[in-house]
Amino acid sequence: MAGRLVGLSMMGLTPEDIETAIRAELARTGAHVIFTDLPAGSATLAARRIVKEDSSMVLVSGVNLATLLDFVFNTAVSPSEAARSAAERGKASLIVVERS
Amino acid sequence: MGIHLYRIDDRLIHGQVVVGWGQPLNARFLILVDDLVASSDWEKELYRMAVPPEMDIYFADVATAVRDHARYAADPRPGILIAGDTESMHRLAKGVKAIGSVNLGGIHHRAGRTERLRYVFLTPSEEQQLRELEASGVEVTAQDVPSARAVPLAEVLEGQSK
Repeated sequence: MAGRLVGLSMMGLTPEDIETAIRAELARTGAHVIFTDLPAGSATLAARRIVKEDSSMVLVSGVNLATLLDFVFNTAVSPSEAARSAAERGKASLIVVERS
Repeated sequence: MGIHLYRIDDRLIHGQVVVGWGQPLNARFLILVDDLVASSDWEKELYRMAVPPEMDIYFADVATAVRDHARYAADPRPGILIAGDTESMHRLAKGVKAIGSVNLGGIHHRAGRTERLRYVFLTPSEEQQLRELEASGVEVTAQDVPSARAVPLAEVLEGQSK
């Protein structure tokens, strides 16, 4: 997935440092999509502050591997469209399998 | 019921609080005590959206939290009170004598702070505030998640980079 996704760890960072780290990576890569894990997580909160200021940015929280894979391989559309599609794919990938 | 956990956490509301502590405590409300957040509608909305629907969230600056503490404590549901820094919790505990214990959940690295635990970094002034809290009868321990050991303040302050 290298090239289309960049990973960032928020371990041990203050909320201010998390926001700074994300902003620095966005500036470095020119990315317009931020993926985060928990909707209530500190990375999500920092990303929401960034999205508030920049209408070209898209945030997808609650991601799973299906979300990321769909985004990585969906290169035919804009990043924001790919993000929306990936979010739908991620939601649809959550299934419960029980012994019948 | 009332407030089951008084926590200092500079990330305020995040997964460790909502899921890590909220679920085992069956928390049904959060009180976010932070002067800055309490003064901003946008900040309040930001944190409100981070809380699951089964939890209520109340915002208060320190003065309001002191005033309303008895009401929070009388709530029949279990709750969690979070302050973003030692100074806010210190002021709160000065005004509220009913706080029996304070949890250091996350005070991260910043210039002037020394590492005490992986998730606790303190300036001399913050250390002093915690010592004063404990001297006033409040038990202070560090514990990021419920499954971790609660580390007493004396042990937290014993050495660097533990």
